[in-house]
Amino acid sequence: MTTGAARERSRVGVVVAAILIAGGCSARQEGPQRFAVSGQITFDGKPVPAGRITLEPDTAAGNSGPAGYGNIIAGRFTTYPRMGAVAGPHVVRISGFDGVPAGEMVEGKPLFAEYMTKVELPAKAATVDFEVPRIPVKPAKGAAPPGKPQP
Amino acid sequence: MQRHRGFTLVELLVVIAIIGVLVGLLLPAVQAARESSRRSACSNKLKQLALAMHTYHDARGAFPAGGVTKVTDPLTGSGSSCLGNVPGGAVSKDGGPPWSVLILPFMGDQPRYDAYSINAPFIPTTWELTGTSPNCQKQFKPNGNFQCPSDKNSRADACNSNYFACQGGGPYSAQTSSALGYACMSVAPRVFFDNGIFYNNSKIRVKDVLDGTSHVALIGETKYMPHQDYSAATVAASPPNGFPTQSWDSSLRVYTGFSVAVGLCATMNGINSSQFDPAVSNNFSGEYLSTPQSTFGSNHPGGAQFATADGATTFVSESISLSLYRNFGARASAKTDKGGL
Repeated sequence: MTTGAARERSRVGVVVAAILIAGGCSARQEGPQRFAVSGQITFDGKPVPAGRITLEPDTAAGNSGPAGYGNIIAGRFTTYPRMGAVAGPHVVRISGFDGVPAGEMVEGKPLFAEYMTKVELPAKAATVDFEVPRIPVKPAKGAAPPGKPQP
Repeated sequence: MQRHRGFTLVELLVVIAIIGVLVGLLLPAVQAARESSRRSACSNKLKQLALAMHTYHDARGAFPAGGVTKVTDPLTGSGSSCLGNVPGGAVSKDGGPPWSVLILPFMGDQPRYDAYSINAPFIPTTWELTGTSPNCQKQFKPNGNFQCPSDKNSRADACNSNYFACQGGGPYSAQTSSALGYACMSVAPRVFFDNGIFYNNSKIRVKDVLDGTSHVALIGETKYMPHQDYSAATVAASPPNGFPTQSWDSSLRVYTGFSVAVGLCATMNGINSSQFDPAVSNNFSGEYLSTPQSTFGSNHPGGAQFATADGATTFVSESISLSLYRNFGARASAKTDKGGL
């Protein structure tokens, strides 16, 4: 009788505790939802030893929100916790270094000028790989688009 | 059946469990209240700095320079002297007083200001401690007016600053180019903007803040000022080649290929978007060169506080749209949509 009542009470206690803990643990999410992005970064076919990646919402394509940030370590990157990217079209900026410390260049010399590309990110955690070309292909200013004769 | 008086073990356990749950609920609330009061004190100090900036403006007709150096250009732009080419051909690591020293008389700290030799060079990091300027011995002393109590690194014996003046805003490519497209250096990315209110030898007046003084960042919070263990004793003992510790009164660093906009930061990367912890031992990562000048941050949950050019302080969320945030640092971004900032 006594033990039964006690068990009943302890059961109630467990339920109350579970509800309180569950209520206390639900973190408030502020701002747009951000999703983790990870992947591999290669330059000229080889992994980039060190660097940084920024995934910025492409305002020109109508996207907005905070950017995603991550460090590149041995050819791989993962956005920092809580610093993932929002969904939609993004401008990606990648900087890469050769990883050989030399004086104040702790991460080594830059391998390439800040590389920019575009990517469409889904509304969930995503894996995207980027290949930085050895020489960024840029059409020369004033060059005619292919297939159109010059006047 | 004999009944024992008193509590059974289970009853005791239940009571203890309930007390435990209640304490567990209470503790975060107490911690949040403590952080709230620290944030309030932090905001007060920021406000004092902003007021001193305005008093300086009243007295001198313009906001103080982000830092005074011998270099005449704003340290951005290709072919710029941010590579250390001081007019006359000399190369200099040291500069004149930074904004944080210039405003001292306007925040009731005239004695500290008078202690410096204001016309002698100021040094940027402990790497230059071997210099001969009389200011070497005066710098790297703690100043609580530049420390936010929420930052665990802001100890009473530390000379760090938690407030960086805003040098501008925009993406990295909005600034300078060198051979590899990295600002001010042949070798590693550093961040120099001149579209804000504070940069090398700047003299920006309120009338130059075309976006409206309530929409442009004046000073923001930082938790990234490079230091390792910068207690006064450690700094004094530090060999010049140890970790390059900076101080709240550090000058801009102008040196061939290795310039740093010490004491300034741009709204380039989102608030708190770097994991760089300047206090972690041997955290001499590549980020120490770019993060402090590109990323504002604080230990308050969810964002950082800013003083705007009208002297108001405001809390900016770290989930703010990046494009709005970048316009926030620029004094004349010509954007109509400031998003409430």
